[in-house]
Amino acid sequence: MIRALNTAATGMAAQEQQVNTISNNIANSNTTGFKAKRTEFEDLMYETVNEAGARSSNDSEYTVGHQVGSGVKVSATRRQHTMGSPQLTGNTYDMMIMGEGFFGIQVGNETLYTRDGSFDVDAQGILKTRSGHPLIPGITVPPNTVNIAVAENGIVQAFVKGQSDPIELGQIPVFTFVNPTGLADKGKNLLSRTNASGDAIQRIPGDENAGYISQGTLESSNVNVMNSMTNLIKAQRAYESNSKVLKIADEMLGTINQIR
Amino acid sequence: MGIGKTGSFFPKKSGGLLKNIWVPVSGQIAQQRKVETIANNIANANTAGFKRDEITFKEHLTAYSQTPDNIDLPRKEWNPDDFYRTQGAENAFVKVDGTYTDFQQGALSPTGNKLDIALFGKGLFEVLTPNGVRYTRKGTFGLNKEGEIVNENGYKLLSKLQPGQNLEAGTINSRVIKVPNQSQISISKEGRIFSPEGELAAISVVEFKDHHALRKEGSSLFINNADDNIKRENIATTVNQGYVEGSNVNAIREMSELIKAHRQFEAIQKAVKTYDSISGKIANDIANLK
Repeated sequence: MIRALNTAATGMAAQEQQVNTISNNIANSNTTGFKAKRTEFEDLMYETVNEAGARSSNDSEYTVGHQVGSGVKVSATRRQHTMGSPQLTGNTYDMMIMGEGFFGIQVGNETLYTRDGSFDVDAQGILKTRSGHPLIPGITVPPNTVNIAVAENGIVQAFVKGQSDPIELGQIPVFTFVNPTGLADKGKNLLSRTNASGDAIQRIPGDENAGYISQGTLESSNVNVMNSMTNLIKAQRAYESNSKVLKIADEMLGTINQIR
Repeated sequence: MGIGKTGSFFPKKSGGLLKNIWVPVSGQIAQQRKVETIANNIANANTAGFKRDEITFKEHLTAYSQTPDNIDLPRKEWNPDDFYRTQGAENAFVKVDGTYTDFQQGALSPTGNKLDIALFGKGLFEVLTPNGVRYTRKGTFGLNKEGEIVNENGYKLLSKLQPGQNLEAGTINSRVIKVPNQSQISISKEGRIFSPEGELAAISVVEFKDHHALRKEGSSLFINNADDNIKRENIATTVNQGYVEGSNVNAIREMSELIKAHRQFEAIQKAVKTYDSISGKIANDIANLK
């Protein structure tokens, strides 16, 4: 009976985790470049009371065994790298990667990755994220710039007052990973490389599987609120069912205690 | 207490009348096992690819545990034990016969992930774990940094057994599926993986002649002990890219089974209590001459 109590408790804990994940998804349903996460479960160990194929008499054997499971655990929260829908903003420094890949951001000595392309220039003209970290490869916009053009292949050109020819400032690369799901979340829309994601592969935008860059566009969050709500209902009901099991297991223990 | 061997009022075996208390108690233990199984099903109501377990009971009679010579009417001085045995009721326990996995199809729900692969039909995926080949219905795969298709534990999805290959460890590593990147692959209903350059591999989906011989290992994995149980030809299972198979646990059914087990447990409790009050009478009232 204690086992049923524990089993139901693992179920409640797992559903609680799922509600946590869903609430974070919904909270970020308007965050630029956010990728929804999905909670995945797996069953725990089984106790084999009776092995299938064990002998039941001299000339026959059990065709089915007897196994008792011990509950569930969260095996992973998987980030879903589907593309969010593009939003036209018209801002010069807003960029979106149409397809796979990430912008590289220099944070201290470390390179972090993001899909959030809402950049800006600081007082020195350096292209940076909102939190003030420079975009790789480091692009400095000269003073007196009238307009900036970012090509699909990432080449940034500045039109300076009094000059007819644009000045080329650099080429923004796109970083791809063999396994982008393996990247670790760092908060502030940033991701970092892990052993599971593999090393970043620097590509020219539009090459191979790397997406191209679209200026004046932002990627909206890929959270589907309808789906999240449905999953929330499922998680809550599963939580309730587990608490019912817990209650009945408890009542049965009470019944045992009432024998005398 | 006994007046001698012949005609003794109480059965000779230890425990006297009270030994029969084990008959209802065995029923309670069985119901308890059932609740444990239901608890595990409900805990996994949202686990992708989970297959529910069901428990069966059997009646365990004296006739099963003793040879016919033992339950013949004795041609000797009798005692009441001998009559219990002829009916076979003396040891009429309830025993758990076994648990079997119900391989009913779970609902498929679309996710849009290229490497969420759901099976429709009786088949299972073959995955390579550190302990050998295991079988699973949980098709939420991804890539590792080498570009191999793996599940979240890092267990590798295997491709179809080619002619000339066998189940030995040497050839297994050549069956691991490698893809260049996940955005450009598509998987057909037969499990063949295509990239723009052409066919890369075919996912191995196997069926079993006897599904009940599979044993659950946890982590959504099944173990198969006999190689000749595996069916690799004429597979009727389809492979569905971009879908996840939900658990086949039906909350209504599990809940009503749970109520049944609970009430059964309480009813048996009454029988145990009756035994208790009878033995109380024997111990206290019979000798009371007032």
